[in-house]
Amino acid sequence: MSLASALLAVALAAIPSFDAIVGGVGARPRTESCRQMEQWLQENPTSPEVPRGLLWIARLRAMDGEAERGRPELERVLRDFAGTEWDLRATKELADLDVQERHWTAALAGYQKLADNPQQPWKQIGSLALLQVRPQRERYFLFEGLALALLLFGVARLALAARAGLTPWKPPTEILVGAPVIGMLLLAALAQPPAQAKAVQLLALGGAFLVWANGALLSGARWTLPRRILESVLGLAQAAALLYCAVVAAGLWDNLVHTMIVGVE
Amino acid sequence: MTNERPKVEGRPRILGIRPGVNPNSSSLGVDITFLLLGGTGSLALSFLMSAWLRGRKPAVVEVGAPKGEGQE
Repeated sequence: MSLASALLAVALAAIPSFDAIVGGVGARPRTESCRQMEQWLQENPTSPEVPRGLLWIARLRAMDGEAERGRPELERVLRDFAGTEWDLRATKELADLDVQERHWTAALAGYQKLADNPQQPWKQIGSLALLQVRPQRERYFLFEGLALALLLFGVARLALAARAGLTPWKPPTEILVGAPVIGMLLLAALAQPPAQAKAVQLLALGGAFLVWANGALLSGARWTLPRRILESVLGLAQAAALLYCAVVAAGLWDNLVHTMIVGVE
Repeated sequence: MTNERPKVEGRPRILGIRPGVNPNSSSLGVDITFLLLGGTGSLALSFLMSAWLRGRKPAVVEVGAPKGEGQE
């Protein structure tokens, strides 16, 4: 055996086996596991375990909160193993990732591909995902429209107040009275899990902006009964729209619906 | 056999308790439901009070005060 081949044999022996990498995932940082698997894939490009290794890397990155970094591995499975079981698994993972990233068209195309597959359970997985993601997309579009409308409404009221010679930069009475409630909501949000905290913070800060904008304009309003009724309706609509935006933006819509049906925990 | 209690080595297994949370449930907790609905209710109340209390004429107007004083 020559020196070169001996050195190669030693180097290959230093790379852990596929099972050793997968089995030892809990004993080392995930980034190190990904690095070892990438090295194994480079050394074993023709192994039947290659697609499994690629999917494994993508999942590990998703667990680290870096799901987008796993996209190249998933796309490689789609490209190199088209028409196999691995293709379907990667399609599902990619579609899930697209939902997270709000790439609705790509996500729905992925789930449709699974739903069109005659093989179970992929057909069922795709069909169920389509039933769930289509309304999710509509809710997100509605959320975007409402959030933009609320922002424009508030800015327009501040601009109208400035045009009427009022002082929109001066905190109106409403914001001074509501400050303790806003502060309490922001403090309480600190004790919540991230999604719930986001919803409460959006509600508190969005509410503060709208109360300020309304108060700034209404401080110089000429009051009539129809005007009071109109402002009441507008106020209730703003509160409802802001709650909807906060819940959808935080991804809590399904939980809220479940709470309405089953009750609070 | 001895009556000595075994020593607990290392840190205890239960590191924290979070009341009112069931990780296996999709429902929102009572606290977050209260915060969301309570916050929205407060916001709605603020708008309603603003609409119905603003612009009311003061019950007593100071003699000699400029016209419109007391009205925001």
